[in-house]
Amino acid sequence: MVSIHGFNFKKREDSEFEMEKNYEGATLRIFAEEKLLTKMDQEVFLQGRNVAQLPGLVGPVLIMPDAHSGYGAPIGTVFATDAKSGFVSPGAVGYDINCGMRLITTNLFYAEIKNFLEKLLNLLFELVPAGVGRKGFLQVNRSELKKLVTEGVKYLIKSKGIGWVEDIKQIEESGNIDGADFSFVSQAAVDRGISQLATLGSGNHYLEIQKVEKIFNAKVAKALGINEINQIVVMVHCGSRGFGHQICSDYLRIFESRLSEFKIVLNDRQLVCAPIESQYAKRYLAAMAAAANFAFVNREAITSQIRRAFEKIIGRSAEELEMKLVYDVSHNMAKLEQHQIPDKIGGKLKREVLVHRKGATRSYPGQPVIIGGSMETGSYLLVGREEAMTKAFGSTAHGSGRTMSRARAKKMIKGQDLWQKMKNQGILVKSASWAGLAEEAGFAYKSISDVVKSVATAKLSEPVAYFKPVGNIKG
Amino acid sequence: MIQHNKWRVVDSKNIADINIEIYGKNEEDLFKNILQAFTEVITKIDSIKEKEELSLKITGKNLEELILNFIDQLIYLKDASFMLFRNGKFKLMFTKEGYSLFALLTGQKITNGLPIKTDIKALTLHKFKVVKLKNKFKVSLVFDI
Repeated sequence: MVSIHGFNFKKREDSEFEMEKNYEGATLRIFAEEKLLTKMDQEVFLQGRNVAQLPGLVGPVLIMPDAHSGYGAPIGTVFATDAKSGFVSPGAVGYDINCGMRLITTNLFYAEIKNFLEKLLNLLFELVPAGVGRKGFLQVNRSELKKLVTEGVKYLIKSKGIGWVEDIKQIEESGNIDGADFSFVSQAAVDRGISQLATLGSGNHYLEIQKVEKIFNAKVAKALGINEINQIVVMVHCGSRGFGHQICSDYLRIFESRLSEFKIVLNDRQLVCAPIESQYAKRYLAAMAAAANFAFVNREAITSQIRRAFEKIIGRSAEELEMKLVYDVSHNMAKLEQHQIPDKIGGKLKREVLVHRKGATRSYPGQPVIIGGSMETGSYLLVGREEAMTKAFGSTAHGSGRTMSRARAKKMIKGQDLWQKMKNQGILVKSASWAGLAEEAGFAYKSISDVVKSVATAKLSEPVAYFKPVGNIKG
Repeated sequence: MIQHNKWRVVDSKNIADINIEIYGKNEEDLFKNILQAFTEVITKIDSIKEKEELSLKITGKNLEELILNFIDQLIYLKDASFMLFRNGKFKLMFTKEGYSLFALLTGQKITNGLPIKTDIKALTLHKFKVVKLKNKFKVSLVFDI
């Protein structure tokens, strides 16, 4: 038994703990090595327990090793509700619907770009707007936005000539979540989306040039285009921008106004939910799918700008540079999926469930998983394991997870000092905000290696390669 | 970041976002301080020039909803029109249908020269609370940043 912040946890397996059940609701399991579990903030457990008391849950509520307190559900939460009789909670998907990661290869080596890195970052900073109040290169009207968010990446490539056809198969759900319906998206979301398309955003969103530092599984790495140490890759972390945030805000308010109708009692307003079969839930899921497609399109458009920047600075085409998409995967989404659920007589039944992943990545067997670390420490490429299907609704971690507030990080270091410190470590940074840079200091996050070790020992996903940052753009 | 009797950042130990308490001696004063706290989180408010004026009418069935709608509108104007505001004049009216807020805001479009600290992407409902104390109002909120 491990006791933390007044909660008791029983170890089930390696990197898997279960909260002692002195509450009504679903089981709460935490995938983390003991050293990460004991460092989690109390709010993770309080918020996790609130999630476990939501109605209509199927199976346990799962907390990933990178979890930290969020609003409503902790960042790093996975749970499922029945596809017919369950509920959907927009707050447990998150504001940044389909916030996700994408990884792009090159056939360049660090030594070849080292002297061009600053020029490359400057151009990327110009081509991929980051921060607040900057428009992207992709200007669309309402009807074009409608097409983009209902047809996804395929429409971007076909109608705008932006992106590569071969990218489509490397994107979760081929860059188009079914069921998107623009009529359930507010005008405010449309306006925010139009002004922010093809932009990176701010907070912990980034575009990073990295070098391959370690390869753990050469065969899988090679199949994914990761061939040698010091090979250059590019990682992107961003989501659906104001479009997704507005959709989440809109539906939280709609759901809350109907709460008495749904007869649901909540411990936190942010967890407000609606029965899946209700018209409100159906509208949210259709709008959520539109936001998810916005995010896929956003990352594809950004990728196109990254390829342009490399072409211009290196002087070779993106095809020659083999700038292929390894994978694009979401970590904020609710999806209808089939999973084996334990029945009352000790067997398992295949059921359709709505899996909510907030700050958690889908991790199906053999599927690439991208876990992004802090801008100082590096990131990992993994693949999903079979065990994730039975243990975690096919899910794994998504990042490092914060250990301190942004305000505290800013008190501990100035953006300018962090910039110099990173430069001394061989990491060049272009940031839209010094304060924003300080908030993302490496010490404000857990060790990415500990997180990856936890998901590996819990058998949720298996490490393939580790990348170190050499150049970073952040909002 | 300015912290005084108008508003303050509550440094919750482990939160990825920003938790703020905003005060006002009456409802109009509360809205003025909400506006200034919002802007100060994003930029240095003193660097905003009062170049443009915008009048708004916001409605809500109670004070809490009125505040949510007002902040949602500030986020919308920042993202869709790239506007940030330094100051505002507020008038509150109460009818049978609820509250109406008439606001005259002054500010400017976001330009390259404006020092940006962070972005406010959403107002969460987590820990959102409006209370009337003996001689003032207090709003507790968490911005998604």
